[in-house]
Amino acid sequence: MTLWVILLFSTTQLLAQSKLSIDNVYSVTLRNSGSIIENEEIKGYYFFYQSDKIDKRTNEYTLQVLDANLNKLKDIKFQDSKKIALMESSYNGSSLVFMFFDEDQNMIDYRLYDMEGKKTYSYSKILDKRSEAYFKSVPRLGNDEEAENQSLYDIPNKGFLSIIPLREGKKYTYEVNFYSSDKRKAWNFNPLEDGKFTQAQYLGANDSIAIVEVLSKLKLTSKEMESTLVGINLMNGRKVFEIQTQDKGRKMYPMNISTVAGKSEYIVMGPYFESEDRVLQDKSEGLGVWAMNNAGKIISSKYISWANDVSKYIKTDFKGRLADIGYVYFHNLFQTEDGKFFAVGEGYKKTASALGIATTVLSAMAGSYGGGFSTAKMKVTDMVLLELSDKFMLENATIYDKYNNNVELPSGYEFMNPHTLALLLKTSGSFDYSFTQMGKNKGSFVSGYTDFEKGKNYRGLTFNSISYHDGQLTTDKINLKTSASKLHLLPAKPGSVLLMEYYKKDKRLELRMEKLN
Amino acid sequence: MYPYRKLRFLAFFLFICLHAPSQEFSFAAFKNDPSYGQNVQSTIKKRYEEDVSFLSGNNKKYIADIYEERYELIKERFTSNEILTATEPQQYLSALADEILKNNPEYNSKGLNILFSKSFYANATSMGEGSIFFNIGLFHRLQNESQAAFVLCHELAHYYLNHNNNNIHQYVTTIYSDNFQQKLKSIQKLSYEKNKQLDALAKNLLFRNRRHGRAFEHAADSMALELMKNTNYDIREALTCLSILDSADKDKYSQEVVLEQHFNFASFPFKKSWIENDDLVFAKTEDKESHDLDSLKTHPDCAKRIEVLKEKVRQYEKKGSKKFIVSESKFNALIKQFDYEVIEYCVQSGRISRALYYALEMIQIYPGDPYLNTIIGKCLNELYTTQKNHTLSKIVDLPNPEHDIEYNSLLHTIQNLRLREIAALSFYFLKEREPQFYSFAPFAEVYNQSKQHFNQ
Repeated sequence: MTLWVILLFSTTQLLAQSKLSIDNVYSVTLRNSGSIIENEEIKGYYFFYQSDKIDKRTNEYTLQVLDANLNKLKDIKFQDSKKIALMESSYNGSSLVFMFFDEDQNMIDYRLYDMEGKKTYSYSKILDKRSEAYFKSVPRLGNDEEAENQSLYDIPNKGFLSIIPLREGKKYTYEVNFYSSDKRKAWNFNPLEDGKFTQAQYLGANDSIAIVEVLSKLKLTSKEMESTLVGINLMNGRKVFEIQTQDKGRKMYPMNISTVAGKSEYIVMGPYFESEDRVLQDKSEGLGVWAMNNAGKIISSKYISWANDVSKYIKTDFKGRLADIGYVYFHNLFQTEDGKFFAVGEGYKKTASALGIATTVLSAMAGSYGGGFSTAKMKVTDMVLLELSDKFMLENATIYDKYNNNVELPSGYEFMNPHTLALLLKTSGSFDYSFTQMGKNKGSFVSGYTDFEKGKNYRGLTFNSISYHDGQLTTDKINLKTSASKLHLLPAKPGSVLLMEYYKKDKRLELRMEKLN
Repeated sequence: MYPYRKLRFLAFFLFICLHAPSQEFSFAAFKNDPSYGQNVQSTIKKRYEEDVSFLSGNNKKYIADIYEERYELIKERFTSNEILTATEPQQYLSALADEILKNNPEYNSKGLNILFSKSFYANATSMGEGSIFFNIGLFHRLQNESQAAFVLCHELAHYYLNHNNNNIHQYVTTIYSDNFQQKLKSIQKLSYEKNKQLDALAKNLLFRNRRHGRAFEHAADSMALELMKNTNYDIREALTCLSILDSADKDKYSQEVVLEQHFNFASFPFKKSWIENDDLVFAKTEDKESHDLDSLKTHPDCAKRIEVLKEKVRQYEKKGSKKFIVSESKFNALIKQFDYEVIEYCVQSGRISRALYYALEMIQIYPGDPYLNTIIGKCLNELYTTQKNHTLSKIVDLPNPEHDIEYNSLLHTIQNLRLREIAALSFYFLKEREPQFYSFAPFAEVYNQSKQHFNQ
């Protein structure tokens, strides 16, 4: 049934008759909310309220835990500094963790709860100058892809891994922290600092090692970027291997790993480039897949190129561009339970901008140099899905047609190459791709994107999904223009989305969970 | 077989024996009498306007606001077609009420509107201004007229003791008293622990309200016996009625609904994955305990109520009292009809998952019933259409730890089914029954719709 949420307004205004009621004196503020995530699957939600003020420096908070069907499971009440923020939450099959940032004490607090709702362990990490920069800058109201965490990851039934970017002046590095959920134990991994500009991304873990991709550049402005894979022992935090992601004269930029239960072997996936190419400037050559072992050795590899492989399914031009689509930016790469691999991408092109040219000409006529817009613009084109067999053979490539969005660029951006601009599009949220949610044990998936429809019966935004279930791909569409004043769509439990409809006139927010077809 | 399962099996067997399938019953929903409905609504409106006009004192505006809310709530029940105004059941209910009222002439029956509500909740309500709603979800669980008479006596007692209105007046007087307003003002000025103070104040108010509520229930029980003893109904049935209420959290046809038995077809086998769920289970036990806090209950436990009434019942028990006075056959016919009306109204009011569940429970007793077989197909077709249009959430409940385990299992299945699978289940379920029921026009219609969904 539809769930109705009565909005609480933190006002203390008097009634017209000068009479007070408990409701209008009561004041509760929602600080933030988010998803509880296990292995890229949404297991529930949390709502973090400031439920009272205790003294000058202390507030009372209520952390409300809901399951994936929006049933309230527990209210956790506690008192803490008025400057704490709840950053992320994760679930590892036996414990829930909530990651708090206490700005007063400059500290990160990881609070773990067992399934009975009892707090089991609390791990605190005092931030130094290098680590505080990240937490002071990171947004506390969710991220682009709300089905994913940014720095907190579950290690099934063992604990949680946290990757924190560190910054000191012009030096950028990272650290990895592990917090055990079955006993009080934590370890920390700090890489050797080589003065490079370094960023780390967690790719996944098998039974014994966690794998982190490290991207490094000599300088922040360098166009050359190097990728290495670092394997870290989950028992003690020691480095097991560190390898450059190069193979047979090709460079790969891993985006995801896939593990098989009981096997130490794991699969690494990502776009690949020719060895002389620069990832920030050149187009990818296609998609690479490696099978690796726990020592960091590549056991086998396969490369699916745009020019030779994808072209058998989709027409490509001499520059390796897919006809009408342009280049492809990969948003997600993953393996499903049946062994298949999927790559979800979106097309982009750099084209001339009539608006930019016109404003430039008008500015020149007025005697000034340059207009507000670039003479080039980016065109975000169709969705692309690549399907590979468990032997890494390309089995299908499908284009999902959608309205091509134009993204006007600021003046001066015309000199940037399209691949650099694609990274800017990703950062600014200009792609139409929304999220990918994995089903239970990665047996299915749903990838979603928005589109604009100009039909006779409907004109407006739509949410579109590509679903994989029981070996079949299906698509679905939800019109986002409704009688509600505002509609927001969020990822939900596998196969569903959460629709938040706000009715301004009634000051009513309606939450409903709908299944995708 | 586990002992529990053995017991369930035995209970199921006994249930089947007691409810010997009478396959000749053919359900046709009662048709409401619109003119009767209009008349009743007019009298309710008139009464509301009179009640408001008689209000006086400083707080009359606040009381009038609550009266208006109550009136709107009653009106909505008529508008949503929840109130049963069909002649046959209404005549029966009026005769039952008359039997009580004629034997208690000191109580004025003017302004009373006693009606059946089609709601599935096992409940009856006295709204306080003269409207009494007897839910068919409670009525169809009863075994005899004396039990129904006790329910009516209890609700009439609430009315004659003016419980509802007293409660409203008491609430408004407390909330808008100088003392309470002063407390609120001083809390409002606090810089710290404002909500803590408000929580304490609200909790105190709630406890007091619930305590009064429980006291009202005891008083209504007590007066119900006084009303009932003047009739020729069997007063002992007041206690059996309370026992039935005590088990009201279980459905009338509470069965282990084995979905695999209903939805396993040679061409489309049942998948175990449909009933799987891995919902986050967190702090479940603790929350259950907090729900059971005695001080927050609106009603006293039925066991306690029985204990309180037992002595009076023994005292008032008389020879020659009857379980049925108005009509045993009409009572039994209504019980049977209401089994189906509950499902039908669930369908009409868009509670499709609940309708499907009740039909699946009941079909285990009446496997050859054309209506039940049709309604299962109809519900599946509704699931298909709404899932396709992304409005499924408007007609199905989401799994919830508060639901019955069996119902939750069905709800998880609905969540796990793909669109095509729903179409297939409906099609194969109905196809298997086609030879038996195709001549039943509603079945043929539902079957043809399922064929379209499944592209057959």
